[in-house]
Amino acid sequence: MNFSITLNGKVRRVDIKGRTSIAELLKKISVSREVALVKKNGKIVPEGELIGKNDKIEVFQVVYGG
Amino acid sequence: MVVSCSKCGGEAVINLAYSRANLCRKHFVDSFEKRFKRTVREFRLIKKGDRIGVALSGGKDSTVMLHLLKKIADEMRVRIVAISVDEGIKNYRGRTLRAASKACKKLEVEHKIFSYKKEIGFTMDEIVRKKNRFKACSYCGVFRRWILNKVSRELKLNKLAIGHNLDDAAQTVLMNILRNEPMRLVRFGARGGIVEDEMFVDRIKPMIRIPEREVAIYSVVKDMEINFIECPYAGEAFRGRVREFLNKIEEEFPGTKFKVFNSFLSIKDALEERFKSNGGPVKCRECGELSSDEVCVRCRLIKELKA
Repeated sequence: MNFSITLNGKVRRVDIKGRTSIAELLKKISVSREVALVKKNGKIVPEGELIGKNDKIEVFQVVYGG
Repeated sequence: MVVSCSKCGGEAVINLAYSRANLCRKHFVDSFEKRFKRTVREFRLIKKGDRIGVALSGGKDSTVMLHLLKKIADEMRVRIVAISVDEGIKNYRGRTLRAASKACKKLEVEHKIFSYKKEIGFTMDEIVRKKNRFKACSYCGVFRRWILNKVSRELKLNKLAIGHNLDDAAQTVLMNILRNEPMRLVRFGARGGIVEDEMFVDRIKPMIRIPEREVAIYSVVKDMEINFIECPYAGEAFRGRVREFLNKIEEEFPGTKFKVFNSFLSIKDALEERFKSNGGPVKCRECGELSSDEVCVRCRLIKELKA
């Protein structure tokens, strides 16, 4: 399915299969899990979490420095 | 499908691949804070009577460190002062300093801000206009360390806490090995840059065993107001490549970053023995601060900028 996520605040469309995990999504959009913080419907979730077709997914890349 | 906490079955917020655990908010926060305290104990970073400067940029690492140090400071009756450096980077530093000030107000921590313009005579924006922007980090690193050491001493602090995390540490170890500069690791560690001199303020790095990603997640689950914006001049090419490489390896072989740092710790004494220098630092003849040469790097760089 063609799915809409936000990556660092910008909308992006991704093609994902029916049962896709956050980990698989990150691979699809070439974002390393080591620099990713992912929210599903406003809550932080780990990479094993599955994505449903009505879920709101936001991916944030952790920036270096701080 | 919701991933459950390995400890209590609640909703997990994070997966720690290196320990194969999923943790809920409560158990992640507990684990994070316990590891922070354990690092402080393991490396004997803080003792009663310390007066600690907390290098605070307003980013995730230093803000999280400030929160946790404040807790320890209250328990151990240690004085802490947050020190921020304004490099003069438009549309960047102002925002992070505002976040830093807010954090200090909330935690009731004294906050001092020092600027490159006043201490060095140039802002980073001016330096980048004069020089190649890809060298920005080299200038910035030298100037920031010079300012932090000087002001910490002037504020009569005996320690300076730096928010370097495990990712920073593993990158530094690997970079120096790859560049055939192992001698640079002699003064690296949780208690870093140790030079026995009254002019030098000891560095402590209580976050050094904590992965960067976990610092970010901790800051979010604790609702800290942090701007996740990157310095516009961040572009140290070699460190960036090492960072990418380590992240790739860590994804495939979780725990690698810990192993890199632990490997370094196991050979630290041997490095000190092998590369110990006979001479100590001298005082820079221009500014009077500690230097390995007659004129310190900070003064040499300023001379270059004025030319």
